[in-house]
Amino acid sequence: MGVSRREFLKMAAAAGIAASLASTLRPPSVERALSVAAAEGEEKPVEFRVAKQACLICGQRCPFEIHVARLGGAEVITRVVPIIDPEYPEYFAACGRPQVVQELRVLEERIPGPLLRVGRRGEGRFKQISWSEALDLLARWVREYLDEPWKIVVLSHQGAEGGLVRKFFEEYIGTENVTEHCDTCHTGMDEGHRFILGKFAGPAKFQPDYRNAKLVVLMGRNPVGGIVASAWTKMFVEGREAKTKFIVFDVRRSRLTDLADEYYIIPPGFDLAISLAILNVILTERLYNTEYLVKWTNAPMLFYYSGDLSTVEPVRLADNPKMPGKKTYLVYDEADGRFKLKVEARRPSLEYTGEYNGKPVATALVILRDAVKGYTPEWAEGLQRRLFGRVYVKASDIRRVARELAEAAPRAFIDHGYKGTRYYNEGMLKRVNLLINVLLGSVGARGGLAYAAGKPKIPSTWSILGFRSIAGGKKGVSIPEYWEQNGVANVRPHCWSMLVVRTIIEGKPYPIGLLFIHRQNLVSHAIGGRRLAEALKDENRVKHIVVLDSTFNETVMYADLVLPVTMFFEEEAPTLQYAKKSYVDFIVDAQKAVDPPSWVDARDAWWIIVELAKRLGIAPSGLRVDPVEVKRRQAEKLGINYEELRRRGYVLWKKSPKYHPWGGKPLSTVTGELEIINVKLLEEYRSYIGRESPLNPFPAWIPPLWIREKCNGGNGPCSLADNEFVLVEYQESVTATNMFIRFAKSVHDILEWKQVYGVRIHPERAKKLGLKTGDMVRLVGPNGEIRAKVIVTEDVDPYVAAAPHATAVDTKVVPLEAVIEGKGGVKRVRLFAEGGGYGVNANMLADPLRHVVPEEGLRAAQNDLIVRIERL
Amino acid sequence: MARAAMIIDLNKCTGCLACVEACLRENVARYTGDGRYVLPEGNSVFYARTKPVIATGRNVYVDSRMYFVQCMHCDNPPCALVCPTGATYKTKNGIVMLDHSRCIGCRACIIACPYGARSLYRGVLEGRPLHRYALEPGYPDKCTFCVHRGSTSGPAEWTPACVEACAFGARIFGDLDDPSSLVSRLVREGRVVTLAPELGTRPKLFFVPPARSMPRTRRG
Repeated sequence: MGVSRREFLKMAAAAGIAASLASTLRPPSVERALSVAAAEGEEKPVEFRVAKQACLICGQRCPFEIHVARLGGAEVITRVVPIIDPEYPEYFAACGRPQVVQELRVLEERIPGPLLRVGRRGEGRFKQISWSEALDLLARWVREYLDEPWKIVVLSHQGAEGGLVRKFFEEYIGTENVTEHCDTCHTGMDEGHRFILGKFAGPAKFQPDYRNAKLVVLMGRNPVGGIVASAWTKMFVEGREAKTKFIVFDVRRSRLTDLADEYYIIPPGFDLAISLAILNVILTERLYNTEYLVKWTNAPMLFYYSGDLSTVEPVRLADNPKMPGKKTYLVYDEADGRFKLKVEARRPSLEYTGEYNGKPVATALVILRDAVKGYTPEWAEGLQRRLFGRVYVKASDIRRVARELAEAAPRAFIDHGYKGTRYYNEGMLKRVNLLINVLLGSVGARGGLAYAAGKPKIPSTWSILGFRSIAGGKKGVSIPEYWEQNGVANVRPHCWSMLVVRTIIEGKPYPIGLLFIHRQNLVSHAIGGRRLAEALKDENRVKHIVVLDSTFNETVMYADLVLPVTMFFEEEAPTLQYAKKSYVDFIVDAQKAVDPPSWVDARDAWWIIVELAKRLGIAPSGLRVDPVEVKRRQAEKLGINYEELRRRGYVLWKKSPKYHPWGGKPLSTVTGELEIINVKLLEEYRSYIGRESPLNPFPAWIPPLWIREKCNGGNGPCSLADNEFVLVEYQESVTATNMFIRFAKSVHDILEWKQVYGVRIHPERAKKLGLKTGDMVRLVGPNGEIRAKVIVTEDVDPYVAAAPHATAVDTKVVPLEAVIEGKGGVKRVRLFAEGGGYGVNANMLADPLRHVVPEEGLRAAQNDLIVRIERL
Repeated sequence: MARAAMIIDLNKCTGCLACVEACLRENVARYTGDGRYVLPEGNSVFYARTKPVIATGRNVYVDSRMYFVQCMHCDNPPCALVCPTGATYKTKNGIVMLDHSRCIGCRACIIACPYGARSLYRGVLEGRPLHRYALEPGYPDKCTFCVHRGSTSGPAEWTPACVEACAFGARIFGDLDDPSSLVSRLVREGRVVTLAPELGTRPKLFFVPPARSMPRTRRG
């Protein structure tokens, strides 16, 4: 026994004291005997079903198993097991979120049945009605607008049938006003990548090849705790095992920074300055991959250039005989010292400057170097001193990171990230980061930023069921069309929920007739706050609001008609799906595990659509749907053995990402190449050259909105009042976009245990305000207020107030309690019934007319705002 | 002879706490006849048999801000040593268990455990547990390595709930006495550490400390 004498005496004394108390502390043995008997006897859980599922809590569709048993007369979920392919384990993972499904099923906040509003809109008062009444009403409201279908506006995202809901309204009803919420998620990235790839490209375009990399820099992305992360997390873990070096820039410490080899805490929105300086070093020290740039990019392209960026224009473009529909261009061939089209040149020069037709010319690479010549590491360090009065990242460190990236290239990259709608400058950040990766030759390289494998084309359930369109072909002005004619540029198709918000607030281009919201939680998910709430209350701006969801939430409170839908694991999905964020894409067959609890009369969302379709004459009235049969037919058309898919829950669609600089085929740019100066957008946005705008065709420093507002227009110094903070929201490992998870008790408990439930501020700032952990404060934003609990920690930058997403509501906007009149009397349902509700929601504090980026489709800039903290 | 042991690889632990959720479901929660899922009042994580620790500083033994505390299933368990009735005992395959029928509720084991691994729930839990070794209110609860999935005497061949839930492979369970097992190999290769080895308790919960590609720095 190795316990020391001292330890032993301590323990023995403790035991003696404790033993003397034994008689009073002894637990009731009868209760114990009874519960053990229950566990051991006939009512021992008997497993009778194992359902394969695809987790939809964050939308990534990670495959997992749900084991269901009978216990004491009830069906209970006893095990939740991630599915891992034995041959390709590296592609499979499921995080802690699906482990909560047994709690999600029985959340207090679940909607008990179809509800009709009885109070004022937004008041949260409803009466329960029958399904036939609810469906008849829905059909009647849709019919009201069949002659003007564009007045039916549909938001749908989560759920196995998210895409099917959108397709139903677009194709079979005929409205173009159908969208998701990506403009509050990744649209900044989509816009930034367009400058290099020629078209919008979001996070699913690339797969960060952590496990084959030598060095990865992470900015604004947490593959460990963020959403849509599991497959990336797995690769991150593999990367750590393979000794990949991770360098992190973030506004807060987290498990990611714990695991990183090196990390820097920086003020919000400042990462763009770091990236520009890295780009500068790579260009000025010629650390780029010459061969890659010549072969795969337009870096050797000659432009007329006299030192003035505003007059840059391509010298000559010509049809490319080797790439139909694409252009080749004039280069300087070092092999013989002559000007030629690239397709004819043997050694196109990367760094040529000289004259052509008597005018000065230079290559794209030279011009790019000129464009960023001012953004030296010393500039970035000086900017920190000027703005913040201190240095977070030294010039020498930036230079070293750039050199390390180059040394490790092409097995080195800056992660392309996921979310891109936090700050005004995020589109430019994503563009500069991708540009760095291009210069390193890591785009499409093993150990670099590989391209996703590609997705299967799954035949539509509706077409298999024989739906017939009743769209009359009448076209009105769609919401994105209208706003593009009125000051908003570059709206990404199906990514304009902020335009819906603006339409509701301003009543333009027309009042919405029917706002159909399927699992989207617009009121919480988009920047709206009190402006949106006031507008939603007005029936002259939105006549009917129908919400399909599983639990009460911010948006359900504003519904006229609430249709409760099953949780994803309570339905037999009506379609095969693919896990699109993995390296390889696998097709998943999500199977029903359990029924909703007896007190919840929810239906599958697809069933609601089918019933609506029958009432509208889109589907035959006698149509009976067997979702398993639908999936079998989809599998047949994809050439997949459905029996095997059903048994395993998944099949691998591809077995490797694409390691090719273009992803295997010419890109959508004019030249078909990676364009370091985008030929088309250079012309289109020439007037933005020299401006601090995301549309500037050249990389440029753009201060985030909060720096413009609080730092003398971006020139510094920053002067936040003692009680002013930049509000940063993030996803914790147990929170997600599908926000019902936040209501689970274990989620609340984990956030509390991690000391993140509340708003986290730095001790320096807390001291000035006399605040300590546990104090309650009011967060006052430009468009709302929220009560929050203070957590004082050194884990956040002093400028920041940080909190997990959507962990509170503005009670002036959202009542915390719904009141339901039913046959059995009045039932009250409280949000955050199991605790919580004292975190933040930036969307309820920001201003939908200010904290947006009109140049990027009015996408949100959700963390680019200042809030005041006031002690309660 | 078998000796059940667990390793937590802190390189692979992403802090998602799937392990904690799985442990709550398997060992702590109760299930009512109408299908409700009942967790202890207060913070249920405190009653999970594997408890995440997120320290302000770095733990000197595991060089990490985050690690876990749970029963270490010590070869020399101080909790068993001080138990006046023998309610806490070691099974043939090395798992430290609590025999509820012999426990007098003195809590000496709670005090004696140098790792703070035991917890006691004083409230009432409505509903049925999933198995006979699940948390019982009023008793000093502890990890059993989910022995109800296996046996107290045979080889450690089952999968505890926390291990099953961890898709990142951060948790490894197996038999220390089986030279071919992964736990045995990692221990043999010296890749693991234990908490407070100087106490001589000889824990069988091991940690793989975070590997760094270079001396780790916080800058800025």
